[in-house]
Amino acid sequence: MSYEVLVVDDSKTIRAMVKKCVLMMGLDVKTVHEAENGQQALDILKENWVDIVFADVHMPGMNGIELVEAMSRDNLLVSVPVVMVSSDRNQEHIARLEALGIRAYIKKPFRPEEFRGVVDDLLHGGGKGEP
Amino acid sequence: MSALPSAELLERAFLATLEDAAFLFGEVGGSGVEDDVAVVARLELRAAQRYTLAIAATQAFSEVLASNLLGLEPGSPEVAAAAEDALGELLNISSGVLADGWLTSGRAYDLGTPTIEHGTAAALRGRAALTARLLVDDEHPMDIFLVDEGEGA
Repeated sequence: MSYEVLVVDDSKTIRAMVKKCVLMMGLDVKTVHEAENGQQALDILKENWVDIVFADVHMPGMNGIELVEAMSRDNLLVSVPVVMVSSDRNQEHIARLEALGIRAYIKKPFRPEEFRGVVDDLLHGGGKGEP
Repeated sequence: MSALPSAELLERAFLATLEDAAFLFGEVGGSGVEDDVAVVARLELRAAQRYTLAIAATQAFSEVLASNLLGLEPGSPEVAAAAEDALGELLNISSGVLADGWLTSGRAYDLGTPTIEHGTAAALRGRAALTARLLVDDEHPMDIFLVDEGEGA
């Protein structure tokens, strides 16, 4: 299976780091789409099938929580797995995102092996990453 | 008024992030950054009080940071282009680590998004309620400022 991946972060540095982690996993990745905020991500999701979304919480404009809320209200997008990758360790925010159905929460700073473990578990183990 | 974090907690948050995210090692101390050449990253932290967290560093350090975060050769055009963004992300990640250790006991807080400025280090230095000074890789100075902006939203 070749994967379509979407990375959503206002920092191009983090987008590049996440993209690198994904490509280092050895997955058959067809495309890595990039968005700077939630609205850009929704626009991409409406035009492309995406297998997994990696999203930050805090972004200018539509933030990560609003993105996940919008996806949860959409009949097609609700099934797309979302992994949050954020420096936000606020338990209220994490609990809200979990209630909205995110599949994992990776706290920055993360190491590539930690990232790989969470994504491996999600794509191949069917499990839920440890928030 | 909320209690400020200790200087040690502030220093540890940034030192740990530098090491974990960028494999850069620092220590407390150094001569600080000259205000007129400093690149400043700042963000808002809202809790019971509003705070501004900021770091001042040199362009050279920002490029070293970008190089390490991205795994690219120093001096490449990609690294130069990513330098300021990388400094903002160092602040963003360190702020999360700091808030986690400081604003405990389930107290709600919100982090803003980092912005980059030039020429504002002196003003921040004058307003800061807490400062810290680091020396990274034995040669790169970095100043950290925590400004108490008053009542939260």
